Amino acid sequence: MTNYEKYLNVFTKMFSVTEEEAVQLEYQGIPDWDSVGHMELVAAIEETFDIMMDTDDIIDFNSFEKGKELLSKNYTIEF
Amino acid sequence: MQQTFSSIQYLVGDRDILERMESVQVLPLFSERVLDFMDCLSKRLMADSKAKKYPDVIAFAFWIRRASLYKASLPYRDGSQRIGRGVAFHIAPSNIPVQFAVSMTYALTAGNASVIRISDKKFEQVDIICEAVRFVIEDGYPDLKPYICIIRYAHNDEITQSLTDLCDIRMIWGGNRTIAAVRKAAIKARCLDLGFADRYSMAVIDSDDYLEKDSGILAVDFYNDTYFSDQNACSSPRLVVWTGNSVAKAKEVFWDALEKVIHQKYTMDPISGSEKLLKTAVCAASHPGVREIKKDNLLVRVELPLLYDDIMDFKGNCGYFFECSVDKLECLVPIMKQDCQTVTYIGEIEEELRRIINENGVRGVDRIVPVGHAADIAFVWDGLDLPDILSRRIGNM
Repeated sequence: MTNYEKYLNVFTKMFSVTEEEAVQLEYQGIPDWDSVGHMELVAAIEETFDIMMDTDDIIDFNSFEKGKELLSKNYTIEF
Repeated sequence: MQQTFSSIQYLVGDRDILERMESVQVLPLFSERVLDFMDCLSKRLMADSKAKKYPDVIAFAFWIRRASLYKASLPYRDGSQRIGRGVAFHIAPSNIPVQFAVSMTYALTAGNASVIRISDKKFEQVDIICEAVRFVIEDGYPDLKPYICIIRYAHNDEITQSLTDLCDIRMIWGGNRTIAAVRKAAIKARCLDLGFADRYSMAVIDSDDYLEKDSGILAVDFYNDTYFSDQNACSSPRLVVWTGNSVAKAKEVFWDALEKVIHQKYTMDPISGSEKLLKTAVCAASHPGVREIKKDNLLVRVELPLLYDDIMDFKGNCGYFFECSVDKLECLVPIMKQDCQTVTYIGEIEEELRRIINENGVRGVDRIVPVGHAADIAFVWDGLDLPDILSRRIGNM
């Protein structure tokens, strides 16, 4: 599985959405991605990529796109 | 002692473990083994479908995950040798269901064994966490079994004294009366006795900065700081202080946005509702200038013409807020008293708040965090650097 597929997978599984819906997601854009959903998402991403995210990045992570950008910029995960 | 312990109910651990606790080996501060255990506990809770409906359980699980605890441990990875003190006896509070687990984490990561007395009040969160602790111990950490007993017992001075006789650290969470009652049990000569007493908190908002931000997101943040715990946590703001040049407009937007969130999310129990009806009358009897504003009983605001220094004697909960406008933040000094715990803020005012504390040498304010972070769990609490205090540093000079 590529990194992109793994990343996408976390979203589709966590929020029970299709791939098309996942790529458009934003924080608080759906009821499931609230502050609790956010913690679950971050924990799942950390586990999937075996990384530890910084607090600033956890706060900045406010959309599917932004998350990808943070992971490639700050955690050298290539998409 | 053996006789006394027989009337204890064990949620984690058993009588045998409790009786042997005095002789367990202490562990290094933030030991790998404990961090692994916490991470497994975190994963177990995150995957528990019952836990999902409790944001406080998920927040606890998030806090104890490896990345978070590792980061918290960094300031202490300075080459110094630190190890636990012995046994910690915790008296958990009845207002915050997960606090017992937070207190346990403080002690365990610092290398201590823990016996934790939880409140008689039944919370599903407690059952979920205890079940997960039992599972993780049995599943892969039997070596940590001797370090954790989570117990309940009906009020009993004899048991409290016996447990106090065991402990090297006593952590009492609760009201001032609970603390006084537990302190009737005398501690060992070198035991640390920490009382986490009643405190109050406030929010300070720069109206101009506020109006530039997303009111919907901030309303949810403020809701989580206050209504989520029925405003019963020490860190939940009871007072909102406004500053800047757009106070009237900002107030309107802020309370409207909050009202929307409350109507979506909050249910109030009838008793709290009726208590709120009386609060303002009592307050107005000694402070005639106050004015109550409410559309319904879910959100009650009490406007103060000035910051009375005894205003927190009248504090309420479940959506009961004092509010006041000030020309400058210095006006906060009289209420930054010893009992003042957290100041949350919106706007570019953190630095100024910190300056005011230093320049005026105030005795209160142990924490300054952005709105939305009042309920965050942290290793520095009530002004105490807990990993440092709960462990021993073995000196070399």
